[in-house]
Amino acid sequence: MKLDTYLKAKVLILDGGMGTEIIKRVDRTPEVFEILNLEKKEIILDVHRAYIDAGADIITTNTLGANRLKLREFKMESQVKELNIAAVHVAKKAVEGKEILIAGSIGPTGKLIKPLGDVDENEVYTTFEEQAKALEIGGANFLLIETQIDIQEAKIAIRAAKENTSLPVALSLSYSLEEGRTVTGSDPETASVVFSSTENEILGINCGRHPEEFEEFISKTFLHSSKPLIVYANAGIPEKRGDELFYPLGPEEYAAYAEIFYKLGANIIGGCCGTSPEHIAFISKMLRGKKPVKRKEREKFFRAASRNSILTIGGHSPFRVIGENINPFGKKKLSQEIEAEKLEQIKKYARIQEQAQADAIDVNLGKKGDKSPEFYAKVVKELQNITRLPLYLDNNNPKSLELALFSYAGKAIINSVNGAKKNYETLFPLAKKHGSSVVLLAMDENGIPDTAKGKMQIVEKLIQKAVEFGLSTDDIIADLIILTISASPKTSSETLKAIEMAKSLGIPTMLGLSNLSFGLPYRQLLHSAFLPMAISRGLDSAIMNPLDKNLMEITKACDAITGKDAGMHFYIEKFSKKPQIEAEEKEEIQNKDPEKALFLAILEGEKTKAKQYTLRLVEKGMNGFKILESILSPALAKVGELYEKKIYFLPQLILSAEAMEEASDAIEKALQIDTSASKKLKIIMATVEGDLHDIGKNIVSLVLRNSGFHVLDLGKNTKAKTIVETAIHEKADFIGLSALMTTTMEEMKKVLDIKRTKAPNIKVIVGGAAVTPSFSREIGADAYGKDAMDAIRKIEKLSGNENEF
Amino acid sequence: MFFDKVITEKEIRFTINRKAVYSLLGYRKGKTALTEKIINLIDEAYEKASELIVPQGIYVIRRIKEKGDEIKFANSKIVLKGKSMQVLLEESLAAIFFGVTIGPGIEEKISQETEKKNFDKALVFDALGSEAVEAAANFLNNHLIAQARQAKKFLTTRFSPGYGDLALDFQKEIYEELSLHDLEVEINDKSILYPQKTITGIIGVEE
Repeated sequence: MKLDTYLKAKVLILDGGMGTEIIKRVDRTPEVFEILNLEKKEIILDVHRAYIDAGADIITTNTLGANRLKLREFKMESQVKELNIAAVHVAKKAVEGKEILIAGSIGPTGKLIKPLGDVDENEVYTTFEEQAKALEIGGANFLLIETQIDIQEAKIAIRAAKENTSLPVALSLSYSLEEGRTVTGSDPETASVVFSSTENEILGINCGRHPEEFEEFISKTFLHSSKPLIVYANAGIPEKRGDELFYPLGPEEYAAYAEIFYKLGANIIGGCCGTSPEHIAFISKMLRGKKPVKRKEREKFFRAASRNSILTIGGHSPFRVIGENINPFGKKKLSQEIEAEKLEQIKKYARIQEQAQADAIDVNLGKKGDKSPEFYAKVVKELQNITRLPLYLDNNNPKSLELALFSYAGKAIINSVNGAKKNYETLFPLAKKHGSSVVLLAMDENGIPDTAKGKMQIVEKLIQKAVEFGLSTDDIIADLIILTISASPKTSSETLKAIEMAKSLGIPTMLGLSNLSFGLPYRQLLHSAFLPMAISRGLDSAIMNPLDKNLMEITKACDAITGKDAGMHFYIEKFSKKPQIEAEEKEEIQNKDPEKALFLAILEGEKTKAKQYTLRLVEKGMNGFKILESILSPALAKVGELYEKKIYFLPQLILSAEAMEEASDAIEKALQIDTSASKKLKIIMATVEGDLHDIGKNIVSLVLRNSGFHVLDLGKNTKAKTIVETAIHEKADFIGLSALMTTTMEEMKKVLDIKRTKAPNIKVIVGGAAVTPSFSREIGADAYGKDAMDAIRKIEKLSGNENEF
Repeated sequence: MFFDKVITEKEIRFTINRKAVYSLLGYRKGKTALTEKIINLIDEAYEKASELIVPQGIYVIRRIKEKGDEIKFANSKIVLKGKSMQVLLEESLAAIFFGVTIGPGIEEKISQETEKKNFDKALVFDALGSEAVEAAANFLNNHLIAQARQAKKFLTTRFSPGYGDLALDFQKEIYEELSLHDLEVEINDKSILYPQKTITGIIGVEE
């Protein structure tokens, strides 16, 4: 009987842990368990027999670490073939003609692929190739690629197994991180998208977390995968007892979890680390001969994924935006860079499109991308480290696509396959091999049909062919092509019709929006008008410019209107604004009341306006000092008040102080007066020697300067002696000192020591990240300022006291 | 995980957490009223920052040779004293010494903006730089955790000079141990690093 026949008939029982069973049977744990396949076959045979007696339908070879990269650590890389073949032979001996299947275990290489680690894809491929071939020669019934921690490595393992053996393949991932992700960050939902269309027949979960967490892993896996599921967990989280690991779940307790796996719809159930033949016996007793439970219906989506995020289109998904900006067409700088094989601009566009909330990114490198497959693949490889978004591989050369798909850690989208026979006969097998999704482009050898009917004929033919080539209809989206309206005025209505037709057939759709407006002025307006029309007919996604803020907002509004933004949650969150002065009201104030307008300009930190209104008041004949006293100072005081109440935060305080400075400068220049003459107190500011931090000190200086103090700022890394001497020379009233680190704080003491003898009347206020009020007292400073506003208060208080004397 | 090999890590990837930048700047949810001007100010700097940041990390793993009042390492002059290190490395068999920097780009930008008296921009770049180097350190830390998992080891939390009773001056020793000079990081006699947006620290490796 074959694996698939078995699977249809019943739930299969897999064996339990190998390592833990070996440890029970040996005096000394070997460094490499697989060596026992040659040297102590009887031990492995005994483990297999114990599991067969317990009722296992499948036994797993003792080859988890028998790959070249792992064995190299022990200088045993020449024994890969030997160890794997021997392992299968031992398993065969245990089977002895019974109806039991042998799973050839293939574990992770133990290395991470560049740039996360130090091995490259080809090395990983040949490593898996070698082991898979050996297991087939030995006579395994199927390959179990298990405990995988990285989806890229797992994808390569599947391909190596499929391209070099004729065995069925099961892939099982281990979500070992606390948040239920693989070591390289993929969650079960992402993995289920990636491996729903790869060539492994079975998908699964093993090892890693406590079995109670598997319920969620299984449910998430079923969201996007219909493949038979293999599940085998550890007997709980191990505790260390002396030198040994103790797995807390006994056979009965573990079997209770196995029952949950079964009820959720698992097809192959067994145990991983810490489970024993007793555990398997319990499971076997409970599940023997039962049929798999029917799973819940999956929602149909078009889907793709990067290493750690998924993209769904259609169904209940919101409208999806595929960023168009990585395309040299019409971008001089980008196209020069692509020609020179540089990546800076490309990376920049990836980043800013993600920041602008695109859902995926189209990668089109123009002719260069077609001509140089290596460069195209390099770009794709780099981009997946820059952005979390899935990529549309927009390239006409199958070689470029193949190379890029090989390196892609996820499920990419081939953009696009058209109705020309040669085209789809090359690209569908490529998509199948790499488990990628495809864009079906509504054109063929004869060009782009004028009518909706013509377009849909091509799309329907392509779907039929895709299915014939083994692709799933979940991996297909149709691009119904919008042409430039200035050249073909009928194009938009036919495209809209085609969207409607595709919608009624349940085919998800997309368009390259920017084509529409080519050659016309004010292109954004046309996009903004067309997009809602298309969405109302059922368009699910578009390749468009995510940096067009207005257009992006329109997509959000459309989601809210069409009910794809559940509870309008996203819309409300995005567009609710904190109350502000209404724009109309503002304008009125500006025209009628320049004094109030200046006050508001300071409050809002508008430098240019502050200057403009100040000059208007000066022109009107207002006294410069009066502007300072009756408008600017109260405005900044109000800002200070808002800051203290935390309604304003630091950037706003600074912007206001800067606006104030701009206004003061304008007064000084226009009226040829020195506003500092009105300032009563002089302060020397400095960051102490050895300390290079001066942002905090600059802010305090700025705020003080604009709050009626005469400030002389000596900058950073200033010698104690210089600070005191300047203060004496300038007849300063205060010294303000800043230090950020514990090592430079001590310098403050130096300043105070010198000052105490040379200028006892000058007061010192200190501040900075590391400085505390108690430190300030300890070194004899007069005050400690927590921040700029606090410093003002302290200085005013100190100078008030001084006046009393 | 290799012992005693100084490894430079140039593939450090992260996105700066916008929320953290806001809160570093003093934003309080539910209290602070944001204006479009401020949001734009931060957005523009955010975009620019990604061009200015060139993150790099460097680390070395040293086997612990001696434990007691002083912790000593094989092939290293470093000696750790004090309670903080005793606690951190209590169950460790080795320690990772690391440094992470985002390069001088942000600091040069801050100086330029300061010179132009754009203190608002200088402040925002400073906050972005702080968050970036923190994120870079997190990335390196996670990268090390992933490697440790492969080797069936566990890592302690990371600890930097200036915390607990580990003096800031200890930065000098890490600086020399890793030869941070090669990453174009400088240190002065007060143990202050340039670029300032540089983090050094220690992580314990447990079985």
